[in-house]
Amino acid sequence: MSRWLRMWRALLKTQWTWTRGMLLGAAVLVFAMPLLSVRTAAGVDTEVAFIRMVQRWGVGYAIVAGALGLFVAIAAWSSDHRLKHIYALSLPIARWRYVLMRFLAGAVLLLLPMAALLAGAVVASHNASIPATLRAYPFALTFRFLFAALVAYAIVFAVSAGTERTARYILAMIGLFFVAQLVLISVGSHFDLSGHVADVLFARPGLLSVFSGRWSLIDV
Amino acid sequence: MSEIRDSMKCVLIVIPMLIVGGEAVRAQTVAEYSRRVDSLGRVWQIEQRAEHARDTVRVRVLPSDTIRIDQLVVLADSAHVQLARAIAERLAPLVRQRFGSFADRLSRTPIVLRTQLIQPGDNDMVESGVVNSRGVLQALTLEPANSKQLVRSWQYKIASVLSADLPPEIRGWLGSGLAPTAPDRRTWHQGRVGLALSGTLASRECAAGAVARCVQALGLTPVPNPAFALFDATGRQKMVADERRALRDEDSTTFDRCVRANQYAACDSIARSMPPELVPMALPGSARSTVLEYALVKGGSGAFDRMIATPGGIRDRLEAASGESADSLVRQWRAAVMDAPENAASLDGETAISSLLWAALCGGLALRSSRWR
Amino acid sequence: MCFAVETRDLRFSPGKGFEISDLNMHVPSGSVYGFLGPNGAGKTTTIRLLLGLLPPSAGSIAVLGEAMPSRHARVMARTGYVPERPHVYPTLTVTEALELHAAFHERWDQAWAGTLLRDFRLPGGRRVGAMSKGETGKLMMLLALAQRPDLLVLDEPTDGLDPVVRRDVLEALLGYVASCNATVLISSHLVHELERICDWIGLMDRGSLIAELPMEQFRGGIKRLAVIDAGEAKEAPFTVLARRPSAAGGEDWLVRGWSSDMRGYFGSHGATLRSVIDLDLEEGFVELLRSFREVA
Repeated sequence: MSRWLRMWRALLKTQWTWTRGMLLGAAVLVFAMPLLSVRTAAGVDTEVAFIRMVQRWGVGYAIVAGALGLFVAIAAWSSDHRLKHIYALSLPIARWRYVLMRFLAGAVLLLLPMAALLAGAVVASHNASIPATLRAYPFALTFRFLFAALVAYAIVFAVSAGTERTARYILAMIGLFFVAQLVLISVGSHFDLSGHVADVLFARPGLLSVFSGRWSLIDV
Repeated sequence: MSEIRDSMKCVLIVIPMLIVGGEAVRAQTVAEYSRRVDSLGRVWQIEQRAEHARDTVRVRVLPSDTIRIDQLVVLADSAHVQLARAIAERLAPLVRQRFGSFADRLSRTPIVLRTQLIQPGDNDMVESGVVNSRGVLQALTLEPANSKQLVRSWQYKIASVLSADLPPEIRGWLGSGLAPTAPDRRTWHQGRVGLALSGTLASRECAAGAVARCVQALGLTPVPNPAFALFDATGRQKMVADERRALRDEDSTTFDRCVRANQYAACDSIARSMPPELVPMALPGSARSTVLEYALVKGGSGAFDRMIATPGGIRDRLEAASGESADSLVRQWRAAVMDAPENAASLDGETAISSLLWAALCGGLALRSSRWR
Repeated sequence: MCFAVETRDLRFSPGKGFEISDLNMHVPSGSVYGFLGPNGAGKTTTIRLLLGLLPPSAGSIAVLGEAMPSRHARVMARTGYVPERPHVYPTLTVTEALELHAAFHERWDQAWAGTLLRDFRLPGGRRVGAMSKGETGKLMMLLALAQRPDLLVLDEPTDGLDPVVRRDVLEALLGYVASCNATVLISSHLVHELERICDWIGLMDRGSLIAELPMEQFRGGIKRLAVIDAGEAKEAPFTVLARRPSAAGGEDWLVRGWSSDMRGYFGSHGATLRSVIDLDLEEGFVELLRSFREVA
């Protein structure tokens, strides 16, 4: 086995050790969510009501995806932060290789809840009585979930990989944003800074655009 | 816009007058009643003359420069002549292609583009409207002064003007007006949404593949007892609830049993006595509009003209426009909307790729993680 | 002589009133180099500079013939490091920690790791975070040794360990050194411990290397001379490390390289040598420190 693959597998194993509880819990949750969503929609009269009931779970998928990405990224770095990165920096590989391997290990771990969601969505799609005019989108839902988790993971991973000075810069930028918003409000300006920022982030092809759209297993 | 104002003024002036007048009527002699009606009429005439004077003033503010591009006539003030010409040159061929010779009537209803009067000094906004056949400026809107916005706005105005002139068979069947632009992927998706969510018995069977039911649901063929042929019990209940005001003669107890107590037998009894004109079509206007668009696409050049020129009902007109029988047209339409790929629940390629790129970018930034801590 | 570690005019200025300035350090290959100094002298900082964990402000560093920090990956592949505080992930078990370490070190000796695991009596299934300080110390030494390094850098490896554990750790270390020509750089403030195992000594205080010499010279050569009517120490056959007034009158000279046949020097210069006192390593260390601080 190549040397790099061996190293990467070792890091993957440590990250699995740190996150397996969370990943397994999330896997159970996202497996159940599609099944519960169609169960709550069973027995409704109209297609509109059916979609509405299923879509109520939509926000849940987005929240779980974001939370999963966040926690897997934090877990990837928390041990190193606690030990002031001494162990990682004393390993015989370049820093960027180490970071890359950690990043890929965390990204791979996200495949587990994704697979659980796909399984749950496929089972729900086959077992539920979906109105004839509606369709199930198990793969679309699953891939949106995966990409959303991946984006959240990458953002938090990048922030966590930085030094304390980087974290201070980021916090300063966020603080500046809030100060700017307050200043605009106090001078009576109608310029909606937060609205514009949200538009940039959530509209395609913004950073968080994968989170917008309809998170629905069943739709037209 | 001024028509709405007119209507509001009617309501605000006439209703209080009627209330006051109504109170007095009960204790009046006929002569006294005549005198009061005459008085009301005089007040109304005075108000109408004042309103006309105000409109006349506004018509006088119409721009003086006239641009004629094919069927489009645009009145623009000197500051916006170039913009108006550019938009007209862009729109005229599209309108001609879409509406054929039917669009010639647009030369009688010029489009207006002028400096806006509402917020003086704001040069980024303009007013845009249409002069109707009575010379009154209507559909007046405040727009950003850029061609992209104005093209879209004028397309809506043109569609609105032409929709008002459609033959009643088409206008009544469409429900809503003509779509302002040629169909695209979203149009067929809209058709599918209409088909999927209408919730009627006929629409479900149509979606499942029964083309004959599609034809019935679209109202292209008469159906005996439509309330029962096209709707299930739930659909009839909704129909009864929606038509409450029209069902004046119905026993309110039966109505309550139907709508509040969910007794479908009560709904059925009301539905049986419902006038046929109150029974809605089983597919909504949004779906019907896509059938018309599909017929125009199938028919190609001259389809719209053929649709207008053909006498008869909507079925004959659609067949003339598309060059296909109604059954064949509806079969193809159904296949097109059921296969419409775009859906907000699905993950489009652009979002997927952009997500991966963002993740890669963040990962790349992480690689710059410093050794020095 | 070739050096496993060599620095030239090394400087590190992190601010806050502390600085490592003009450090010229030479660790001979194959030696056991004791890096001695009081707390806060800069030993750990120097070690981190050597291993590429801190960026030098100026100067050069060469470890095992490779420039640092630019070639740190190649150097760390041949270097076993035991830091001052445990650096192994506390949530891993001992076995998992060994597997992780083995994956990164091509020279990892699995058989010997197993032997050390047995000798150190470390339970493979126990989490590192749940181990005692002694067990953690042994684990870190095991990780450093089992990768078969050419250079061992040990930053206070026995600090806080009980005598039994300390003995186990030092025995394993000496056993390894005896079996191959590895270089050991071991820092400590426990002078007596280094006295037993080191053959070179480097003394650090306040960011400066105040002395670097073979242990023999340090152990046998530093003496305190009580001198009366001392003048200037011109052309002395020995090295005067420090002079200060004595409470009993005259001066106390701290010298290196003294031998008894040098007594005649004082007579020829009009001074009187009252007494010669041998200093052990600890006393010599303390005297050197004191002298250095007085001069500074």
